[in-house]
Amino acid sequence: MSGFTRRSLMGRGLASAGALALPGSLVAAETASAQADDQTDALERLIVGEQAAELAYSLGAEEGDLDARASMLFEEFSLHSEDRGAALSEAMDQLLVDPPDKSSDPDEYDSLEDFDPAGSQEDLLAFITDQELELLSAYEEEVSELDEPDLARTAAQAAASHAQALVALRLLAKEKGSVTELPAPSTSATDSAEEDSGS
Amino acid sequence: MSGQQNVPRITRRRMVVASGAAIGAPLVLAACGSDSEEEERSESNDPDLLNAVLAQHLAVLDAAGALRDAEDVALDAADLLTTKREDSVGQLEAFVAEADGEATTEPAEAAQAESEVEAIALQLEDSIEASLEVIGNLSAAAYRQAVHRFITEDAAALAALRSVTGGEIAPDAFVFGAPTSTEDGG
Repeated sequence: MSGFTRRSLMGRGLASAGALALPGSLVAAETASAQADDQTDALERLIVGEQAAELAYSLGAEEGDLDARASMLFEEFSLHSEDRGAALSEAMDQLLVDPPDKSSDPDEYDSLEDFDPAGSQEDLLAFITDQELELLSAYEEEVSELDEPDLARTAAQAAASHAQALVALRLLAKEKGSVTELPAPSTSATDSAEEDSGS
Repeated sequence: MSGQQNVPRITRRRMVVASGAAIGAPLVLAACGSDSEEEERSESNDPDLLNAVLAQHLAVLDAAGALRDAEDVALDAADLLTTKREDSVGQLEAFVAEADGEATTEPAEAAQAESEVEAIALQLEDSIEASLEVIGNLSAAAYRQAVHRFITEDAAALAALRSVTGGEIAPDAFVFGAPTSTEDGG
């Protein structure tokens, strides 16, 4: 698959939009230190997750024993993760905090510790499905830390894409049970609800 | 408070405009540097914003509950979606009450399509887009987190239904509702 398909270009366009999604006032130097806290920590976690997913999909497509359909999905989802990682990294840049560097070495990512890119399709689908579930949980946990309205919106758009990728992978794997079941809701939602309501 | 009043029907054309706005508006904000996002976040806005999502969920519940005959994947997705939306309707009603508002009982306008499965899919696209429009402006992190969850649930169900209708299951890195490739004629 070309790296410059119409869809990937559109994704890059959205990534650019995400990169510019923050109000101009945020780039003022005096506000930088105030922004470099829980919000940027949340962004960093999500960026690392996207980078790891991009690498896993990419290596799986290159080295795995995949059929044509799976290979195409892996290539496409690698591009999606790249776009999301780029958008979130640009947002972090705008908050005047350096985003994490991207690595092409799976050993650099804790979540890829047991990853075998040359595995069977069944094993790769199981591994990457777990990665998607982890990413969905990460987005849901971290969204409460994303104070900027545009970041909250972008995170929801990204997580929704992960939910759809999860369904695609489960259908490809012919998983038993509901293909739309998501990880259990983050407990931090309940916690923050109680804090917000003062109860 | 009427969901119909708060949540005008989102047409395909409006989706195009909304997608453009989602891309373009932040550029304007970044260029001007004078618009305070914080001003848009106010507890007083929460009831209307939450009702906008609630109206969509009521419409999704109607559409999903009407599905009788379809492939197993679609039936399973509709069953789980119905359970999720029954829960989310109750949760949103509680949120609106907590925010000193009155929960709407009016569903958003029903999507029309040739088949029940396609109708649910269109309804989900509307629901996702409406939820994305409000999520950033909800004042409480708990509200934003709940709506975030609802958006991912809608997106997962939409993907399963697309596998039945023949659409691309996961077409975009960032979900707007309808696939971006069909929104601009691409």
